[in-house]
Amino acid sequence: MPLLGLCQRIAFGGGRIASESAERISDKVIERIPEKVGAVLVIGGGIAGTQCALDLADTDLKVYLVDSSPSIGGAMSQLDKTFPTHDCAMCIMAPKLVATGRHHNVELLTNSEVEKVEGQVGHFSVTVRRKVRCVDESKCTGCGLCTQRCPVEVPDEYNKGLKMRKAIYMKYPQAVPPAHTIDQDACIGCGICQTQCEAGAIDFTEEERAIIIDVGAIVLAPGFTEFDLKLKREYGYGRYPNVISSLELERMLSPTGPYGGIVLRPSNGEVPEKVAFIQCVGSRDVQVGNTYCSSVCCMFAIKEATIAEEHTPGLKTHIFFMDMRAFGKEFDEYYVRAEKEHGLRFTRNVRVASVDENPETHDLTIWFSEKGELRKKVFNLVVLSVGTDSPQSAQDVAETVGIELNKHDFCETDIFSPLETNVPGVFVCGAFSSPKDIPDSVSQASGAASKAMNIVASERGKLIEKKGYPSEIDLKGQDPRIGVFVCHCGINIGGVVDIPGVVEYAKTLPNVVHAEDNLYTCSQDTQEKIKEKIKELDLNRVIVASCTPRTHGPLFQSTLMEAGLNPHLFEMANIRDQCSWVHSSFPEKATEKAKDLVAMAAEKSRLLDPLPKVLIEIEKSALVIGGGLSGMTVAQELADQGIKVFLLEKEKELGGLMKRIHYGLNGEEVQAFLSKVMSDLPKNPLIEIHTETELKDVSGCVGSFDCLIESNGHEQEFRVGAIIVATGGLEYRPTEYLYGEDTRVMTQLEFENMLASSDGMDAKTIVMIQCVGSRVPERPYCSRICCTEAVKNALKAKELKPESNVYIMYRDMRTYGFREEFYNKAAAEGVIFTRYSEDSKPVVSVGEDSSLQVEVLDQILDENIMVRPDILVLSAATIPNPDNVPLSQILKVPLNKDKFFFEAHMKLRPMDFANDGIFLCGLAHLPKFFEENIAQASGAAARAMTILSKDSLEAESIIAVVDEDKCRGCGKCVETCEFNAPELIEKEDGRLVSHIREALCKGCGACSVSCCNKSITMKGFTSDQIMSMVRRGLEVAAKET
Amino acid sequence: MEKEDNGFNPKIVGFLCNWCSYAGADLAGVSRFIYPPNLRIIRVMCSGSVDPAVLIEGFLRGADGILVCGCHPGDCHYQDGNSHAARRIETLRKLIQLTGLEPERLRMEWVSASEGKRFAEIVTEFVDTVTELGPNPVAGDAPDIDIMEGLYVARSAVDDFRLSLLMNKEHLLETKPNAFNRMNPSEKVHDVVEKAMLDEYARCRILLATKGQPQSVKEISERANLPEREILGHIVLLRDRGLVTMTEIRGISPLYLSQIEEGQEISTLPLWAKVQKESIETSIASLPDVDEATKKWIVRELLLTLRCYNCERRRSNVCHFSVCVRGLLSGVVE
Repeated sequence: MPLLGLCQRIAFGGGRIASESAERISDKVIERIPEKVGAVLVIGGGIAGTQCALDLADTDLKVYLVDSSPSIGGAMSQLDKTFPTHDCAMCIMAPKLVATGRHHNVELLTNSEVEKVEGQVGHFSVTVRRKVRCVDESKCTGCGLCTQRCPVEVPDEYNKGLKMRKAIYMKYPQAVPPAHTIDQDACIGCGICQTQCEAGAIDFTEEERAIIIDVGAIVLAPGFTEFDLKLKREYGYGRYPNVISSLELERMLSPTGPYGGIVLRPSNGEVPEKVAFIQCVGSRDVQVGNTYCSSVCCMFAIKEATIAEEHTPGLKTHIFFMDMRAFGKEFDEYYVRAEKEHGLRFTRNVRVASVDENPETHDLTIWFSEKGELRKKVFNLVVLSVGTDSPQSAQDVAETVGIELNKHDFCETDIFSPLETNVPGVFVCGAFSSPKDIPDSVSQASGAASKAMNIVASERGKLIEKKGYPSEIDLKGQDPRIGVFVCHCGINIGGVVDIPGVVEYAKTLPNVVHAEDNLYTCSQDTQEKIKEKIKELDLNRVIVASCTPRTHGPLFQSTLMEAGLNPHLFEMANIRDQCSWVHSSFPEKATEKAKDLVAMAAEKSRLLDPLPKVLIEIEKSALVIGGGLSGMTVAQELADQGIKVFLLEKEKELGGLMKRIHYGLNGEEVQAFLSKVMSDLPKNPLIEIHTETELKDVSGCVGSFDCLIESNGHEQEFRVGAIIVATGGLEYRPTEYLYGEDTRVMTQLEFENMLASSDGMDAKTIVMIQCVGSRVPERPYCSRICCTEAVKNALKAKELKPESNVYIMYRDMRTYGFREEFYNKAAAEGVIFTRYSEDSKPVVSVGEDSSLQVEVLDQILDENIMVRPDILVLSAATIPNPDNVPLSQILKVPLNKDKFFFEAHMKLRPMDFANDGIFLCGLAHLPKFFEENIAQASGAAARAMTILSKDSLEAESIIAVVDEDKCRGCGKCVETCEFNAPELIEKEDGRLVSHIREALCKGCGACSVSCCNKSITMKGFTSDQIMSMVRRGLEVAAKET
Repeated sequence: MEKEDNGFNPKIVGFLCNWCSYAGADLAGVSRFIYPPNLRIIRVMCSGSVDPAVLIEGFLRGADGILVCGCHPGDCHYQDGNSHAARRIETLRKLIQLTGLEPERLRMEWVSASEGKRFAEIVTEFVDTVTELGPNPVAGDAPDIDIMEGLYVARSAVDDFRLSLLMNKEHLLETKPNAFNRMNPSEKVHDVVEKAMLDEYARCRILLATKGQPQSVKEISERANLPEREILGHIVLLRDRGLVTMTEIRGISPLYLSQIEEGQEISTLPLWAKVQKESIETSIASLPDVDEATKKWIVRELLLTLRCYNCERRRSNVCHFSVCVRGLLSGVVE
């Protein structure tokens, strides 16, 4: 490309960056040295893309987040609840979305598509096409008047077509960015929305444009699409009204969905009494070409069935499935509970043949064969558990970026580099590399962030604009001087509440020296006005009466800071979301309430104190506990970004459990990979390896943990900024099935060793028993990897000795994702799969001829079979490291009941602990595969980098504070705190008093309530402040009565 | 030469535009072109000014046919009012068809100031057509309550902002560049309007059917004469707009209740004809000394009027008509 052309490119949106980089590109052409760019492009704004963007942005990298939809949020935003905790999906996701939307380092490019990618790792030039939105995101207040008046209705994709939306719309109420969009296909251009929009946000002349951004790395997170259910004609989707998809049911179950949370039959609006779930629709299906397992639908169906029964009285669900794949953390317990406690009905090991409809009643007959017989059952509603297809954009993305896809159009990766595509500098996360659930997507997202950081770590902070604020005005000795700004919000508030009346009233309140009304208080010119008034009238408190502090608080606080006021001298009265919008039929009462809210805010405002900013120094080093695959991966990732790492291993040698694994499913040479990692690691000067070493003690908190380690009697102390737990796991030593008594009985790892040894394997008949030590009362979890391991070793045995007979006796085959194809392959190669049930486990004995005998009741054939194997292989559970127990006490982090470490949040924070600065990954979290461990370990590195990349961290300002004169040192607060913030310290006079570690305090206030003599108060929410509001609120109520 | 067939003498209302058609009608007179006397002409400045709600009201008031005449396309004194009218009336005819009334009773014709003869021919032919169709089923002593209800619903539907906006803009959006300064693809606007018409009509019917007493989808389907399968989708939106609430789930059937109150968007939905007819008849039955003919007249008057005679309140389900009946009766007596 000619130089002139490069420099002439004009960018919108990212203009500042683009012009800078244009200069750099010209340098590059002259010097011929590609220069790295401290920015990353993330394609796809679902949960994976959002998490990835946040992690990158938190380490001072510039992030462009591109999403083809008008808002970020992806598939998760459509979910009602998440398994297995039944957390409300939107409640846990919305804060992340808002954080992404408001992050200084993130530039959201919604309604946009990546058109062209040029350049190479370290410096890509990306052309992004911004589709027409016709609504100015910066002006739109999201009030929705346009939507109310728009006359064009089209099916609402967000609600899966169960509802109509308008041509101008917001995808969902909590959408980020909170701006409307005109659907170009539906709109007829009547122009009514423009006449309704008080903010003047609608612009019909907007044109599609292309912008060019320069980034150092690219992360692909385009998610997935649903399988097209109409391809399974025999199930009648699209023809029979009462056959619906599991995502349609999800919308029905959502309180914000079309039916207000109850399940109704689309044919006649009645409550279905009998609901069937058909699993694997578009998954594990050769006929439609999707031979893989979609990984999430089993749990999804159990969750939906449980919630549907809870929400809708009289509704009974029935799930038809082949194998129940509940392989994640605490999933199997959830499955057991669903059946035993909630009474859900399951029919196992069946694939439903077809669905017929009674045209009169629209009831549905399900045909299936069970134990060799064709059976039928009638239902009122049938839910198809829709499978996961590769994203629609897969082909385009592949072509634009140049990556390779697998035969199902998912991104091709391998087990040792699960986050890397074939193009250097381009990474992948989420469902695009294989179908997966939310925590796995989040792990991968952080992992991909770490990979991208490795590339551009040297450019950190260079493209970030640090916002500087003037120093704070000293307010000592000043009386409160309050300024009140009351917002009309177009007609959103002004149309109901008498705003001038509120302003006049505000002027009468004590300490209020100024009150005014604004058409939009959030507009840029009003911010300037607020600053002017602060200077002109020496205001030292500001109240804005408008929308909600949840979305707009930070904006006004930043205005205060620009005027030299502490941001905590700001208070907000919510007179829109909680007043005008909800009391539109009672304008007078609404005005009265608005006045009260302003008065209450003023009361509190008078008592506000400036809260100092607390900075925590960060020690730029990390401790990694455990030298297995996960620990080594974390160490490598952190060292690559310039962080000093102490790597602790209890054994003599690094490598962990991986040393016992010889090959992967595709024949990958595991030991070759491992020895390369093990030999590379010690060469890195930033990694200090301590073998035969144990962690003795840790004190301190995020940013500066003081660690004490011991190795053969030698103690060593050092300080680190973050700790990563990667203690790994062990293979269970069975006590069942004659293990240890008969040498012909061995574990799966021992068998693998035999297969890989030079002696070879000469058994003619091999029996494998699954779930040995897993899914049993004393160890109720599923070990996740054993089904695939059994298939892998069975295939290896067949390869070595094709005439051998291999039996796998299983309860559910859990070969999820693309592993399913190896299960099929094994079956095709003659491996015999025999299902046994929990109540009739195989019985192993030694016969009179001293042969091993395995007897089992085959659930599929419903008859007893007996096999005399030469070798009996037990798929033994993966158990947690026993060191987890003492370690959890040293680190003060929790374990779950199975003694695996318990993360901060099972869905969205799979690598974090509630305690800041401590992270986890690998088998310490739960049993999983190499590729998953590598992804999670990289993810833990990225999470740690959000702290370690900074010199100092800004702690919460709203924290607890102890009045040491009053404190009696009882320690109740220490017991109460979830975050280990309070500690008891000894004063000079020998008294024990509580001390809050500011870095750890989250400001929840639990300690202040628990304190027996009220010596702990919450900054910004003191009892005095709260009581002043209560008093003011009640005063008015009393007046009314 | 008044048309008379089986004693039926159709009442026809004509809306004629001031500039062409009204002059055309005058010319017919000047030229002595004879046409039947069934037509009552109302002069309007432009055919585009005729409100669809007025036309429906005309049928409710017993018009056997309604004729709207305007300038020929391109000749409108106000640029394009006639085309607007034509588009609107086309949609309105489809809407009327939904109610069960014959759409042929409503006609739009172009008559220029020089087409006196054409005007006479049109009127003659229209009177023939209407005579053939017979009397307006909602006119007379025994109105067809189903159609009457349908017309009320249709009037509410055209009064609602969505349909009225679309019907007013339909022609403009089909022929002129839209807000994006581009032409809409052919049929797009037409499809949107047609769908809006069907939807809004159905929704008004549902509101009517759920007035006063919570109803299940099945009951709504019967009362509103809509397929069960279409109802839920409308209920979803009506619930969203706050016009319908779910009161309870009876057995397996959720029950819905209309929330229409006075002064709300669809407040013109005036009479829940079936419900009211019963209610009125009960009120009247208790009155002594009133002959059958008067009773029928009272019922009819009450069904047609929006406002109560005595209390001047807009009708609602709380009114049991006793006041109105007494008011009317006193009028009769006088």
